[in-house]
Amino acid sequence: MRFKADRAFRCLKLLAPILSNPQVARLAALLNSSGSPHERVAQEFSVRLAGLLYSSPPERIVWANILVPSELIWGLGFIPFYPEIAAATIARFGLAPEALRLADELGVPRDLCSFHRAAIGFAEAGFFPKAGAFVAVNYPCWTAAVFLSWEAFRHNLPFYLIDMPSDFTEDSAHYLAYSLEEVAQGLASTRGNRYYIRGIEKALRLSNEARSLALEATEMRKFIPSPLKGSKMIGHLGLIAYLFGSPYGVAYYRAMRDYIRRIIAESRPEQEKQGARLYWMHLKPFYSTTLFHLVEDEKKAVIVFEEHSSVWWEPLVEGEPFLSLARKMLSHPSLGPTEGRIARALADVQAFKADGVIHFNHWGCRQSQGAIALLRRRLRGEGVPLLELEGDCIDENGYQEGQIRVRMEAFLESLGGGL
Amino acid sequence: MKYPVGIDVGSASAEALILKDGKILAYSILETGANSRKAAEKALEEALEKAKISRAEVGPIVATGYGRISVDFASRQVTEISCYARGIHFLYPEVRMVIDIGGQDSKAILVGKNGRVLDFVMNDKCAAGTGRFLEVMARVMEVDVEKLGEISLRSRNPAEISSTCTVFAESEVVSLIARGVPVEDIAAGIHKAIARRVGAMAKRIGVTPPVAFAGGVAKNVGVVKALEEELGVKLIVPEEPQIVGALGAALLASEEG
Repeated sequence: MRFKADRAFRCLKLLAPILSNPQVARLAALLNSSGSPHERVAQEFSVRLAGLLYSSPPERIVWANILVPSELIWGLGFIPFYPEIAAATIARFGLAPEALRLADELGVPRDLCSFHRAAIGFAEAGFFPKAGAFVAVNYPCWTAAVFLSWEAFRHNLPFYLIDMPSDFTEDSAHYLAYSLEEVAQGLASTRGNRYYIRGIEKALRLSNEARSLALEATEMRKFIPSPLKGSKMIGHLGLIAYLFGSPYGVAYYRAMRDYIRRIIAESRPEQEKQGARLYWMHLKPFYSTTLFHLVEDEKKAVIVFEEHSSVWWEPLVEGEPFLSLARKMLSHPSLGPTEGRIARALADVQAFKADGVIHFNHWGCRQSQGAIALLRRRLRGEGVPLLELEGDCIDENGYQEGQIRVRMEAFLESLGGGL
Repeated sequence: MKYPVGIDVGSASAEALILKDGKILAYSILETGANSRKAAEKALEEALEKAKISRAEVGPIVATGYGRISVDFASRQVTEISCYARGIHFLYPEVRMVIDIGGQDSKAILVGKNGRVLDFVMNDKCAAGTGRFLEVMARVMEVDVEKLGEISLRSRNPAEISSTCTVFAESEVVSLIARGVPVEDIAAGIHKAIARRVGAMAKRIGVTPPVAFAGGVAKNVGVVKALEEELGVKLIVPEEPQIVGALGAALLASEEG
């Protein structure tokens, strides 16, 4: 396994300068003709990003956790690297067990989220791109902030902690905006960029454009039969964290919107046979499993929408970049009282006419499953069935194929399919 | 006339049940062993023999349980969750929750007025709260697992045993034996540990009386008593609690054309 990771890493390092070329990235995506247009944009972006991360000087790269707005990092002229998403990519290629073993050897407690354990392992092995600075948001996921501060400490590099308030008020928005501005000033000064606001405003424009297109796509996803295969969309969740503030975000959502429009016009949904309609909450296993084959192909259930595909924020305001980014962050449904997340789920269930909800409980993720009992009670009170799937997104040893299968089948049977 | 059949292949036992005119005609219960398919075949043969009918007279077959996929001669497979709900509804239409403790898993199912599943919860990746837990403990105590229940009823002072891990609980039992704790107190402690585990699981979806208790472990009077105390309800235990899954499967088979 170590050999596999070594070889992949050496290959990536060798090819990085070539892959960072936009034309090469486009060609690589075009060679995969099986994907839908937005998937090809995603592939193009992924190839280019990998190329940039491994061929750019470390000073240009900022490691961050997932709630740090990508608009801020792109806007300041840096390249974001989200180790949590890299952990999911590692898992997809079957390399997570090696990363987790390395973390074990370092003495990282096993009850910690495997996204961070895998990231720690691969960072330790030197497989991640080198960084110039680290930025972390400390809420709702504190582990990420600890991991990033540890990496900054190890490499004696700047670490910026964005102290996230737990509630959304005008005062908390201003407090957070101030914190974001401080980070922006700190990062910009490392590159001697005194006119960074222009870059951020441009990123905000791109983000707003992508947001509008994403909203159009979301609206069209309510169509019955459901135009897209939800399993593919859950697979893109990591990518989405990178897209806003980049031209690729606009290209991705434009391609998606046009593609869905065509699907509806031609009555050719990605999933031909559609039974029970499911709303998917939280994440999924990123390593290879038969879960979605079971759901979509065998049982013909369709995942109509995903919690994390939701566009939850208001348009960003160019004139007040930090305040509007702060408002975007503070309005995230996972922040503050669970009521917000539950309300969002109920609204989505209704809007997408979902028959039931699947919540994938990722081992060690306090922020998502801490309130699962409340979520279950509230959904049941509204007559919405919920299935909790216990597993691990990264560590394949935490996934029990047979147990997951029986739960999923039973849940779909209870929704009326197959009985 | 064709007879609908339900086959439940669990980790510990396999059951086949034949229906005639909506009533139980015959059933068989045997150990699953290493080969699920063979166990299903054998269970069916035994049930056919008891019913005095031939294989040619068998109608639709629905397979359920952990080994359902291996029953390739079944017309379809349905999960044990749906089958337990359907089976218990047939026996006791008033029941709103059924708890099943089988060989390697335990589950609590909320049953609707029509016999459909409203919600369910199962144990995860752990033998604590299953029949296997009882088997391991009985072996350590050198007591026949089937007698464990009766023995435990004599207890006045149940021992405290961990409910979180079979391996740790086994060590606890070994040390209790070494300390000379009476066997009935250890047995009662074991049953309390299972009841705590399964009770907590059932409470997650809301204990809704009347509650039935099915599966092989329901034959253990000690577990029944401990679970009743834990849940604070009187449990309905079918005359043969092991056939509820196969019965549900046979009922679903009878609905096929």
